[in-house]
Parts: sequence; C-alpha cells; structure tokens
Amino acid sequence: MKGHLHLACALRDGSIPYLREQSFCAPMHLSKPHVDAGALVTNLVNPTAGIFDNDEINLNFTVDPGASLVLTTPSSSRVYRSRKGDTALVRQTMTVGAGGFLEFYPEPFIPHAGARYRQHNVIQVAPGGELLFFEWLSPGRVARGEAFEFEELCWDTDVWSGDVLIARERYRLRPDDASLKSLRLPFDLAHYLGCFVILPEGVPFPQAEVEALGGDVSSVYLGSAPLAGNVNAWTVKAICRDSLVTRKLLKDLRTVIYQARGKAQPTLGRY
Amino acid sequence: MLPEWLPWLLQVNDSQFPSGAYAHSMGLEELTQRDYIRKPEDLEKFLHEQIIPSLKAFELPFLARAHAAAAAEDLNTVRALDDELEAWKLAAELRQASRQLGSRRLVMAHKLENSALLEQYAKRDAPCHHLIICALELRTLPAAAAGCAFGLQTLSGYATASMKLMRMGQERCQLIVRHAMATLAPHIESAMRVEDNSHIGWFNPLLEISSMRHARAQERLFIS
Repeated sequence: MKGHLHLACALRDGSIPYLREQSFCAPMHLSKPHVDAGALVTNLVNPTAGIFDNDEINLNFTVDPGASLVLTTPSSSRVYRSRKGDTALVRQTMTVGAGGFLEFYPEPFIPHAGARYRQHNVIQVAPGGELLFFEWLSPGRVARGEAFEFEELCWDTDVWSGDVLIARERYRLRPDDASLKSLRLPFDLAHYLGCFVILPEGVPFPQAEVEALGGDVSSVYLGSAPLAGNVNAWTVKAICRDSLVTRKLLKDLRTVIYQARGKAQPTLGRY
Repeated sequence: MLPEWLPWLLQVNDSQFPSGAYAHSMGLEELTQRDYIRKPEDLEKFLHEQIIPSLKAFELPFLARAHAAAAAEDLNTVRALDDELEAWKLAAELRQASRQLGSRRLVMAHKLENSALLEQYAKRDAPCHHLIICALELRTLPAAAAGCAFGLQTLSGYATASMKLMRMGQERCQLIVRHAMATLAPHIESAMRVEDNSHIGWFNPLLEISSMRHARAQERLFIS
C-alpha cells in the first residue's frame, strides 16, 4: 500500500495554531486536532493493523514560524512479518521554521517476528526553531515470548540545524549478527529510547534533571550530551529494562524538558 | 622488495607515537565501572561483538571515502567528510576525543612530513577527527594498509586502556589484540570497497551512553 500524510501547521491571528494544509491517503489518517497549552495536538493514525511488507508511506510535517505542533500516535506502530521478503518503507520529513516548535511523541515501535522495515527520518530545524523528537524501539511482542525476532530493521536519521548537519545515525539491526549485542548487554529484553532536543539559545538543557531519571541503573542506562554545531541541541539515549520503565522514562523526560522550556505540557489525552 | 611506505607506517602506528591515545578509553572506563566489562574475556567479547563489527560497517568504509579524497588531494571533500563525521559522533566526549587525537596526530604528521597538503588542512579550522587525519597521514599507502593501521590503532587502544581498568597483563593484552586483528584482517579490503555509502553505519547505544555518562563522572582515570 502506498500512503502518505502531509501536514502543515501555521498560526492564525498570531497565536492559534491550525492545520493550514493536510493531505492523507490510506493507510494513514489523523485525528481531529485540538489546541492545548498553545500547541496543536494531532494524533497520527494508522487504522489498519499496522505496516506490512511492501508498504511505502511518506510523512511530511511542516511547522511554520511561530507555530507549535505536537504529533503523537494513539497506539503502537506494528510492522508485520514480511511474507514475500519485501521491506516496508516509511519516510518522515519534519521541517520547523524559526520560532516554531515540533514535538514528535510516538507510542512504541513493535517489530513482529520476520518483519523487514526501513525508516528514513530527515529533521530540518531553522535557527530559532525548537524540537523534541522521541523514538522508542521495542524488542517485539515480548508477552508472547517473541523478542528480537524481526528479520531486519534499518534506521536512518539526519537532524539539521539550518544548513548544518548536527546528528546522523544509520543502523541496520538484525538478530543474526552482532548489531543488537550492545543494546542487549544491560538487559536482554531491552527497549531503546532515543531523543533529540533543540532548545532556544539561552534556555539551559536540564542535564542534571535528565540524568537523575537514569539514577537506577538496574532498570535504565541513560546518558545525554550536546550535539555537534553551535546550537543548543542535545541527544538523550536510554536502554531500558522493559516497557513499563520505558513508558515512565518517556513521560518523565517529556516533563523535565517542558519544565526547562518554561511551558505547560500539552495533554496527549491518554495519561 | 620492501614497500617504501612501510617504515613510515610502522612509525606512525607505533605505541610511542605521541597521538595522546593513551589518555583515552573511548567509553571503556564507564563500561568497566558499571561491570559490563569486568575481565579479559569480557574485553575480548566486547571487541569481537561491538568494535570489530563497527569497524567493518562504519569506520573502515568511511575511512575509505576519506582516504580516496586525501589520495586525490581533494581537501574540500576531506573537509566535508570531517564535518559529516562530527554529526555522526553523537556522544560529545567521543567527538571531542576524536578531535583531540586527530589534531595531535596532524601536528606531529606535519612536523615529520613537512607536507604542504597537511599544512593547508591545518589552516582550515576543521574538526580534525582522528579517522580523517589518519586518512590524510596515510594517503600514499594502499587503502587496505591504511585500514589495517586504523583498525589496529582502534583495537589496541581499547586493549591498552583496559590494562589500567582490570586485572590484565601485557601478554594477555597482546593475545587479545592479535586475535582481534586476525578476525578483522580478512574483512578489511572488502569493508573498504563498500560502494553504497547510504548503508554504512552501526548501532552501539551502550558505548554512546557510557561515553555520555563518563563525561559527567565524578571520578575518572581517562579523558574519555
């Protein structure tokens, strides 16, 4: 299935964010957006069971200068077994204008046994724009005893601040080679949480508070660091013991970063 | 016949070459403090399961690109790769360590070689990542020889640092390095022939996190 979801968020009357442009095609849909705490909260919905091999989905999100957009998902993203050996492909492009803010807060990504999946993320933030981007990779359907049984996951992420590449990640995960060894060393059924943050100049990143969230190394192994480039950009990475620990960390991390921004958290409607 | 580059390679790869590598553990110190790597067997496993695969999937293909540009004396491409490598290194301490090692190596290589090319690069205010400077320094060597040298520096760097972090003697250290190089060596040429650069990269969140934590540690023996 070839689908897409294109959204552009702008400001109306100088203060109210709205979708000035929206276009979607199955398997993607979106909820009715609502404004909360000054941001437009939009749920990205895949009303089918999930992503299948040979699916190709293009997601484009644009935040105009001054606007705030929070993107989330109401449920986990599942990628199913590749039946013919084909790979599902998702391309995500996120563009944030000066003074704009984009938060991307997904539910966990769950690769089923035999899944083949490739994801490209290109995040472009103009100087003066803000970003809060999370990703959560789970081992699979752990409750069914199915962990790290996918065939192959490929992940490409580029983060740009203006015309400077500040973060690049490329990895190919396969259970039959060494690519999962480091993730599984602290916890055999590890969940991986990654986060990129770009804050306005002058807003200190709450590093001590973030690191305090990883105080219990028996359940979370967490670190944070400034990214390359002369911008106030950071990454947080964590390896978590299980889904409950990951969910709590994600929620707490979000709280800490919103506190640092001096902004109220938009409600996602499920906590 | 002895290749004319061999004496030069031996010198710059010697453990006494003043690159400053002895002061860096590249994240290993935190991993040992957290008991993820406690004994020589753990170190060997770490090298074989995490470092050698990373060399094959990322560093060596990247080195091949930089080496080709350096051999062609294309400093604009070398600089672009240096900037790109800056973005690849998400852990700030690993990024800084790589820049420190590269900068020191560039100064020393320039003194030894008195090369106009190295002098030009030094004036570019580039990040000077270790991998990039190795490519420049070894640009006249066959690519596979440069890859072999870089691989050995990486593996022996971890092994040497580990002698200060766990109970392990010189002999065991050298055995571990030999075994690791024996595993890596057959793959060096193919790793440096990767043509599709869109697929190079490696996933090691553990090492990245350990480096991030090391940067904020209260007590530490190594700079990184």
